[in-house]
Amino acid sequence: MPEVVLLLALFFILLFLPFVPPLIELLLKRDAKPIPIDLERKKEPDYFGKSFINLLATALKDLKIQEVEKPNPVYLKLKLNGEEWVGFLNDEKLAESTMDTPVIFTKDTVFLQNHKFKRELVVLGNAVFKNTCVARSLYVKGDCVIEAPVRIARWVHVEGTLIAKSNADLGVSVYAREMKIRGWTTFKRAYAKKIDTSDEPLIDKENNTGSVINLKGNFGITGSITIGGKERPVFVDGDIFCDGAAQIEGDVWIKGNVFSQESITLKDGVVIGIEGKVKSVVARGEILIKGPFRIYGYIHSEKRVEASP
Amino acid sequence: MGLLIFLLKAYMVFLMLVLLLYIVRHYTFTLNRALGKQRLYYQDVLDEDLPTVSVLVPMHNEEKVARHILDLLVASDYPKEKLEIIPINDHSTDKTKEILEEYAQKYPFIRPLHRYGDLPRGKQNGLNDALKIAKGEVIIVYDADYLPPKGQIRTLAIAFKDPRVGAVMGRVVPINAGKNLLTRLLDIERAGGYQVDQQARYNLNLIPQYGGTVGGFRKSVVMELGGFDPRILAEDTELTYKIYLNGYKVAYANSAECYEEAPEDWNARARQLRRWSRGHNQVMFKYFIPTILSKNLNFWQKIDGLLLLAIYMQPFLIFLGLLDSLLLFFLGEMEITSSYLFLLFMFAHNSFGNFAPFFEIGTALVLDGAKQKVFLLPLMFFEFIFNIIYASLGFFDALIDLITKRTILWQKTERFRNA
Repeated sequence: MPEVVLLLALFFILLFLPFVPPLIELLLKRDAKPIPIDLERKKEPDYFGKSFINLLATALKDLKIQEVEKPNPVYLKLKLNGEEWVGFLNDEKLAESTMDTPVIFTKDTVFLQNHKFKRELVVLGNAVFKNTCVARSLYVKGDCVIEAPVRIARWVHVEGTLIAKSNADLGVSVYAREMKIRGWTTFKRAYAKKIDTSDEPLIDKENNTGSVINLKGNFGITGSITIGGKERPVFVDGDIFCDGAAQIEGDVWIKGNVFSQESITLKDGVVIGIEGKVKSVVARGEILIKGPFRIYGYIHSEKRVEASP
Repeated sequence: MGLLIFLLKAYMVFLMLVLLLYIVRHYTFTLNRALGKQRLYYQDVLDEDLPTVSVLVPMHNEEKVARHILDLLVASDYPKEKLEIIPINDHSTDKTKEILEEYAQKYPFIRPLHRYGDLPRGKQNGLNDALKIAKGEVIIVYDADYLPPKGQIRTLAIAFKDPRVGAVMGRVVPINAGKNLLTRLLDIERAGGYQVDQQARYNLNLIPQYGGTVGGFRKSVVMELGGFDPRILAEDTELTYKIYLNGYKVAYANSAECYEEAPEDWNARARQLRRWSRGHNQVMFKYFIPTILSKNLNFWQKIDGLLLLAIYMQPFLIFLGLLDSLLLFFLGEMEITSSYLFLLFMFAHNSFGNFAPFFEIGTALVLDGAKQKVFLLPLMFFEFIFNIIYASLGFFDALIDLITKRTILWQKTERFRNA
């Protein structure tokens, strides 16, 4: 008889055992909230730089920036993501080779020395990099010229024109009014009214009086696609969406978007979009840009964009 | 008697094979989502040439929630010159009409459609009428209890740049997840359904389902295909099949997340589930053969399409299996076959098969970063029992609809939000 009771007890314990953790969770409600959805969420290519500079502006709103116009660096404790020290400098020479805090240069700055900025680097004027530089993120209020190797881990936001003449790894997100790539450059996504790799006039700015292949409409392609404009210029008045790889080279002007579930190669004279309108090149895989190229708008790769003029 | 026992045993074997198909499906989807290549949605395409959009919001006595959704739609970042909002007031007897008129006065792009008198009630009828006046190239649909984020219309509409896309679907998240046991279970069930199931179907180029809300479709395609069948309650499932059978596809946007209000009491959930099952099974009766015969679907899309069509018949088949096993037990014939291999299969089925849906939901919760919710999984057992009952009743409803061709009345899910 006791064995039967014991067995019954064991049976019920084992039967209810799986329901003990859920009952604890139901009572304690450790994870009862829905997954968070930001109702203000929208697609903003300048999100990172804008958010940072807004945080900084809010933190500085009662501070007069003229107070920093002194020969020595000034450090202020500001509330950015949390309370932290922020360095304000007006001369590149005042910066140490490695800086652990966010650093703000208050006027035009030429970086002649080798620097490593472990946090955000802000230049409230024009910036010229003449020596190697590593930074977590870079904000430039004016124009930015990169003449020596630069590596940015996260984002770059340039209110004016960004000119990359040297090798540059620009991190995850780049935003500029205009972007001129003149050296080997990588990033994951970039937005500018115009991004180009060459000053020479491309197919969209030429008089194409000869024989041109004109394709109209939007194209959905199950496999890969190759468009070659080496022998005759090709104009595509629409978008290209493909499940495979897209290889586009030569005098090809695609007036719409290019989207691929694989990789995209753009070589030797390809133009994407129309001046004054935003269009995109988006790929799940790599985007490889070689030779002269121009896009009006946005480039996005889930892996990496590599541009070599 | 011998024949009866043979038939009962044969049914058990048939049921196990059907369930085996669903088990393989669950594991394939889960492993794909956890380890496989993820297909990119179109949200990263930035384009100034956006299509014109009509947002349709079917409403029947929605005074509790109407202002919330309209305020959020007004705040949308979609260019207002390309946007119109058409709330469909379907025979409301509360203050819905007054609220809609108030918004229409304030915002010229809100153009309510009031349906009263002899016009037949129901979401599908309302949508058909709204399509006649909608000016947008793209139609986006939200149920009235949904809370769309600012950038969501753009995220959904951009998919139609791809000429192959006929419809698009976003992700539904219950806002009242923590309210009670039911909402907590519905929350984790939805996570499995969207985060794993829908995304995996999109990844594998199978058949992601258009869900009738937080989604949209190309107006020209739907008009060309004759709009929505007023006799079918699951207009969303029907559209999914219409779209695929006509050579288009459904794009799934996992990032287009939107809060909804899940039913907070079991009676409301039972009615909702029964209606869904009824509508879905109506679609199954209509599209089972066309899916098999379609020239626009590949082999795997046909398999997935058929399994999806039969998803609300599956609880009924399990219910029959339970009755079958009881009969076999009392007849002393539980040993279906004497083969040891078959026994091994049964053990494997019980060990792994029954856990397939749990595995799928668990993976979704891990992907969502909601790891504590995984502890609730054993309670899903009770929801499955509940589903068997009400999905089976829905199957019977659809069967009777098919036989009698009776008039179909739409039943709205009760709202629980305080105005």
